[in-house]
Formats: sequence, C-alpha cells, structure tokens
Amino acid sequence: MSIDSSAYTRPDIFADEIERLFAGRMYLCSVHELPEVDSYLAIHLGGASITVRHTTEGLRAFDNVCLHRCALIDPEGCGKRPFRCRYHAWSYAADGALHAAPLVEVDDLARRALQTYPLTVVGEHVFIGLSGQAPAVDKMAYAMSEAGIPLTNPEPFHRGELLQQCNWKLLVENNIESYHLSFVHAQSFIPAGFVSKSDYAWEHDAYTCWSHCEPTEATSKTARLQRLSRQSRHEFGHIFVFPNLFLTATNQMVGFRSYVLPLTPDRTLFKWELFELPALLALPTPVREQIRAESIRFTEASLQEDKPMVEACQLGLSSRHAFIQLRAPDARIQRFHDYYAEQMRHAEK
Amino acid sequence: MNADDFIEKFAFAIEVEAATLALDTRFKDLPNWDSLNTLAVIAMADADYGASLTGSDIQNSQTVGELMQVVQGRMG
Ligand code: FES
Ligand SMILES: [Fe+2]
Repeated sequence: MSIDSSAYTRPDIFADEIERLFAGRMYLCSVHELPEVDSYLAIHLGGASITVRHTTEGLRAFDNVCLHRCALIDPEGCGKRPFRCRYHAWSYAADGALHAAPLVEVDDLARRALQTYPLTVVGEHVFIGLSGQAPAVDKMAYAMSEAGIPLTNPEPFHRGELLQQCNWKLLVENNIESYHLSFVHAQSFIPAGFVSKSDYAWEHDAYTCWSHCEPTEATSKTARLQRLSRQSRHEFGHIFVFPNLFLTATNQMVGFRSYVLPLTPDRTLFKWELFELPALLALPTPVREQIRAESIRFTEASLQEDKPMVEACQLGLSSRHAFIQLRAPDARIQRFHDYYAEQMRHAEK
Repeated sequence: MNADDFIEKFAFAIEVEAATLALDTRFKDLPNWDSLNTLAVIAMADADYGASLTGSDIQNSQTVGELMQVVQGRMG
C-alpha cells in the first residue's frame, strides 16, 4: 500500500504528522550550527515554535513563545543573542525559567518557566523529542558505519537552504530513489558516473535505511580515484534517518548532510551542510580545495535539478485524479510508506 | 624548470604516454579529459613542484606550456 495522494495536501493530515510522527524523533540541526553560548536556532512548524539554544549548561530546547504576550522570543532562523524577548525584554535562564521581567514582579506570575523538550545528540546530530520523550536514535551509528561516515566530522565547509513548494514527503521520496538520476541530473549525477541503471543496493533497520550506488565496472573510476587517495572508491552512499535526515558519502571523500523541515502541507525548508570525510582531509590542500569547490557545484546543480520535479509532483498530487503507483524501482519509497503508515497508526492508539 | 620533465609528470598524472604530449598540446581537448584529470594535475603540481594550483588555473590555461608557466610562477 502506498500513502494516499491526499496525504500530500491535506492540512489535517499535516497537523497529525507533526503531532504524532515528528513528535517522536525529529532532526533539528548539527552542533556546528550552534557553536557558542547564546547561539540559537528557531523554527516554526505546524503548531510548534521551538528554539534550540547553546546555553551555559549545554544544548537545550524550549518553546519559543514568550510567557508575557506570546511574541517569538528568538526570531526564526539561526543567530546569536541573549535569551531575552525582543518585545518587553523578559529574559530567561539556561533552564527556561523566567529570569527577569522589567517593571513586573516575577513571583506574581502564574507561569514562570518555558516548556522544554528533550534532545538526543548522536555525534554532531541533534534530535528533538517534541512528545516530551527523548528521541530514540540508537540505530543511527550502525547506518553511518555502513556508509563510511564518522559520527563526528569537522566544521562543514558549506551550508545552504532551499525553500521548496512541496510536501516534505516528496523530498524524502526523491532523496531515497535513484530511478530518476538518468532523466533529471544531466549536470550532476550523470557526469559523476551515477545513473538510473547503476548498481544499487539498499537495506533498512527499524527507522533507518541506507543504500550503496556504484557505477558499472566499465564506467567505474575507482582505480583513478585511488591514485589520489587509497581510501577513495567511486560510489555514492546514502542514509535516511526517519523522518527527516539524510546523509551521503560521495567517493568516501565528501559528506553531505541534509534535512527537511515541514512548514506547511506544501512548503518545506530543505537545509544542508557539506563536510570533508577522512579520506579528503588527508589530501594536500590544493586538492582538497578543488574537491570542495566541485562538490558545492555538484550539490547546487543537483538540488536545482530536483526542485522543479518535486514541485511538479506537488501540483499533480493536488489534482483531482491523483493516483500513485509504486513499482520495483521505488522499493525504498515503499519501505518509507510502510513505516509512515505504521507510525501514523501506532500514534493513533 | 625543465619542460620535458614537466611534460612527463603531466602525462603520468593524466595517464597518457608522454610522447603524445607537447608544450602546445591543448590538454582539455584530449579524449577523456575530465574533472578527475584536473584533480590529478593539481595533485602533481603540489607533490612534484610544491605549487598550489586551483581549478580555475586549469580552466584558464589552454596548453601544457601555459600551465607549466603557471606552475613555475607558483614555485617556492
Ligand atoms: S511579549 Fe515577550 S516580553 Fe512582552
Ligand atoms: Fe535527485
């Protein structure tokens, strides 16, 4: 069974997804996005406004709604500022307790602390449990080792974000299939040697799945890559951590971490970071610089190639006769749909 | 810097016979020239001449001789 086409457009289903499915585990950011005390990242999704802060006591997540008259305390996005509302300067402590309110007696207030949410940090990856329970991420380390990506990596050398006019599930689905490569990626995957017919293998665990894509022997550049670095191989490794995190390893050189944040049923923020894998870090500086530059070009090209396709699906799915037919090349999407259905059902109880 | 020596190292980096190259060879017109060759040449310039090249140095040079001059200008 696949997800019903209306699940890509209906606001009530979207609200359910945030409340039930994203509540258990949601990737929020890497620790690199919150480098110092008072760094924050604030997002608004569905009915939740959250800010994650680097406090004097470590990373903490709070409701981002001021206890006074409900202004957002931190503006949406990332930055560095004291934990203080911009409107009337009510300020908050590292545990979310109201610290001071100008001209007001704090002790008289009925509510004096922000709601907090548990975070789980795996390596450099920060997950939030909006349900109030710490998110389970115990399967992640294994998937990462399968793809050859260390749990902790250096500061990313590039970041970006793209607002996509589509449902978050379309971005997941596009990310976990290689079927479209030959038809969409003329400026990225095709010249890099990865096409629809490349050898593609994938496996899954409870809420992770990972794949390996290798060019056919005749087109593999592994031997040439290994003249640059013995650790390199011509391959594309990919991991999906349900519901919203993707990690890839290209030729064991470049790591790419991306994630989707569902804003509305048909608007999704896609964010990414590129970082160097150990094989690349070991190479001479001018070679590293060239590979980094090439990977930025590759990433931007491939994202621009995908964008019109996922947005076209969104329009198609909102038409009256929308009907999805998953076939063999969509097997990994089928797995995603099964897991999605399980989670939505499970949450119903 | 010796031109024959440079041609030999350049040829070794991109895995062709040195005899097929000369200073006026337009290297990006060679069959199978690709981004991996760019990397191999950058690695060669670094390892053999201590010279840092960028992708645009290679993009902007047409012949082996032109690139040799860039490398020469970057040495120690
Ligand atoms: S709304 Fe935040 S201090 Fe008034
Ligand atoms: Fe794609």
